Amino acid sequence: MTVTAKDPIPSRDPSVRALSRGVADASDPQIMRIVATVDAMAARGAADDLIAPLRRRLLTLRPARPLLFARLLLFPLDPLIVHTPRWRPHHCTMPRGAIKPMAQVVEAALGAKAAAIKAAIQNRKADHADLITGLGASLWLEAGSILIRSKVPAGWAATGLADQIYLDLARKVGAVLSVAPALDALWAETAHGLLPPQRPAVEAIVRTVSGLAPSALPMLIALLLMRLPQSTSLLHEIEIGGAAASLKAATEQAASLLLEHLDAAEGSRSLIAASTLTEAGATTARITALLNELDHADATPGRRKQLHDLRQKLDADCKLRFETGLSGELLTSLRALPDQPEAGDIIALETTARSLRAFESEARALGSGASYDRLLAQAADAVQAQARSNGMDRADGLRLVEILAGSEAALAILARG
Amino acid sequence: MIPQNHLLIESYYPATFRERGVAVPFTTLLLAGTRIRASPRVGIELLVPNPSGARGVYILQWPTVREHYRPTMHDTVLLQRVTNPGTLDPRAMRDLAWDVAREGLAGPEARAAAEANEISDRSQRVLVVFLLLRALVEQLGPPGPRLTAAADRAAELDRRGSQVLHRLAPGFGRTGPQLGAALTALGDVLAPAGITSDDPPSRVARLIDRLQATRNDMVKSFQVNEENDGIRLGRSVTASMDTTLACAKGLLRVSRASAADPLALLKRWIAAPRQVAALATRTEWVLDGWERISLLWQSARDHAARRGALLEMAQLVPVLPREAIEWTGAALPVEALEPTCRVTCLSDGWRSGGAAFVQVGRNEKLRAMSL
Repeated sequence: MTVTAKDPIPSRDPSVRALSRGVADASDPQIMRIVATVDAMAARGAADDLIAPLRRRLLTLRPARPLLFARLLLFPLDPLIVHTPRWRPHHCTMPRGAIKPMAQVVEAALGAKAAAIKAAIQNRKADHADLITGLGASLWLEAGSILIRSKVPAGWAATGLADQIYLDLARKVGAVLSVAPALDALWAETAHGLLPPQRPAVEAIVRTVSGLAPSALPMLIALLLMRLPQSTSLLHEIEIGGAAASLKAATEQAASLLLEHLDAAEGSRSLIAASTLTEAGATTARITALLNELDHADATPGRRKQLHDLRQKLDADCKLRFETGLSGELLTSLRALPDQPEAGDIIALETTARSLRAFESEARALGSGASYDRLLAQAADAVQAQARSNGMDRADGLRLVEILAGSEAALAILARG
Repeated sequence: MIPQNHLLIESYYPATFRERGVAVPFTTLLLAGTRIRASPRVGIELLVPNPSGARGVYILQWPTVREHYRPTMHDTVLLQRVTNPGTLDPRAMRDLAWDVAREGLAGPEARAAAEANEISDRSQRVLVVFLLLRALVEQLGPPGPRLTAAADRAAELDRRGSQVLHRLAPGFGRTGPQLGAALTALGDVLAPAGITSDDPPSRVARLIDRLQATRNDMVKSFQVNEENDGIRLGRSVTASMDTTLACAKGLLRVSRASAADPLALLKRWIAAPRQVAALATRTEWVLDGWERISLLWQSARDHAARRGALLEMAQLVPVLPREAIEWTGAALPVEALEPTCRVTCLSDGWRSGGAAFVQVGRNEKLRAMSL
């Protein structure tokens, strides 16, 4: 999950505004080129305002961004970074304008270490998960400590935000960065959310942040619930001295932020539409788990209604994504199969079919089972027709039917000979 | 999932390997670790591990399994091909499974692996028959230059081998060609394990090497990561691996040592082929079920994947029957025959819903990686 801004506030610079209007209508390849050009700039300045309106489209296009020092530094907080004009002090988010000054503070304090990191990430992209985790493990710990102790940097005035805001933000960001490696380790220990998180690990993370900056708890919990929504019930059980009330309030604040994003116009649709089928399934499972976790005995009637409405919205978004995946990915690939397809073609098609079923299995829990059954049956029929027409191996055709319609359907066809 | 009237056998300590059953390479996630054995009443019965991961097995018939576990098409066809459960052993199960894979029912990669293994098996059989014949010639034939597999020597081996077989045949009540056919059949039985220590690695030797490499890799990874419940579980798995590897290596040595006197071996084969075959397959019985465990670890690429793999692996660790003590003559303590840790699942998230589809694909990849 990522918290994105609502419609970005237009730039005050008239020339940038004019350019932004043109850019908003650009084609996808043009946008990719524009973003690549801006990313390559040493000083982005107003160019960031130029691409601000494109951020929602970038969620779908997902260009691999260059892995710069600032991006690596604040990678753990990326889901909480919002357009500066939209940020408010009481939010558990971080304004985009704070990235550069904070990165400069850390880079100056690290000295040669920062130079070594920059050399290691030169010409690398931000989709290099192993590199990010490996370098981040030590960087984030040290950077967290630096930011917590830092004073207001010279470049902060350019953000237009008060000095006290820097001090508060730096403490919060520093506290969260200090536990970023522990959060990664927790994610790995749960096999990326397939297994329940262990209470001692969650408790240790919460205690650390509470000790460094209690005001950072909402930020931490928002990040935790985005990845491991099943942590919600653990958070209710954790005791951190006399701060149980603040933990409860922080959890509620984080939950409200996440629900607010899901409630937004694009909300879950942008998360699910932008994803591959595999990611869409995992995202749906996480959102569903979050909604279920928040639907507890103490939830207010207003919250209950909100959760009910969100489930219906998510159900509709999932059906749309499923139909796109079925027609735009599976059936299109099926029709594009050459005569006598090779093993690689079949494996790719099976992978798409499995991803579609995996996504549907998660989406079905929200309702609309009959719709999915009907669509899958139609897809299975399409597979059989295609298999007959282009010389697909009989076993390959049967396996696709099995994936889409179940093993009994495939066995029935096999038995007919 | 299982109807209430099906009994969970909690104290499951098979005395023999046949009683333990043969591991079946099912691709259905919930049938992982299932074994089959002959039943005088119903023909075939399946021993399905307790789905929660706790101790015990359910003893079920196929119609019940089909109703409650929804097996894949591959698994249903595989089980339909088991026509002689009384003589089923790990080797026969492997042959059946590769036949089904060759038809494409476990996917294109498994089909390619089945074809590659067929070629590899055939080469190994030809090699072992050659080595047996050479050993026989060197034991009994007139002195001559050492025979190699090179083409210029193959004709020499044929000539001298034929002489030896014709000389021996009357003593066995056979003609020379009949004795040659018997030698070939013996070679087929011995091929999976190989007959000399300087064979190119036989399939069984490669299985042992693979399991050993997995064990070593696991131990190495435990030294890097901090102590946690995953490490303790992993050490329980490697402890069971150590016991199994010790038994398997010992039995492989015994099997190969029997070929040191090829004439005596041939005599035993003519007199009691089933006994010789039974001895030759002991290593495979001991290793039965471990290949999948090893492949789960090898297919996991990072810490998160290994964490998940370890939980699956621990649920698959086979009980070693007491017969292993008789076979090896080793003083194995009874507690070494059973895993010391178990994994019980409070939630099925990792193998249900969307995850199940992905895992079936993963299981088919494991088939393709099998020997």
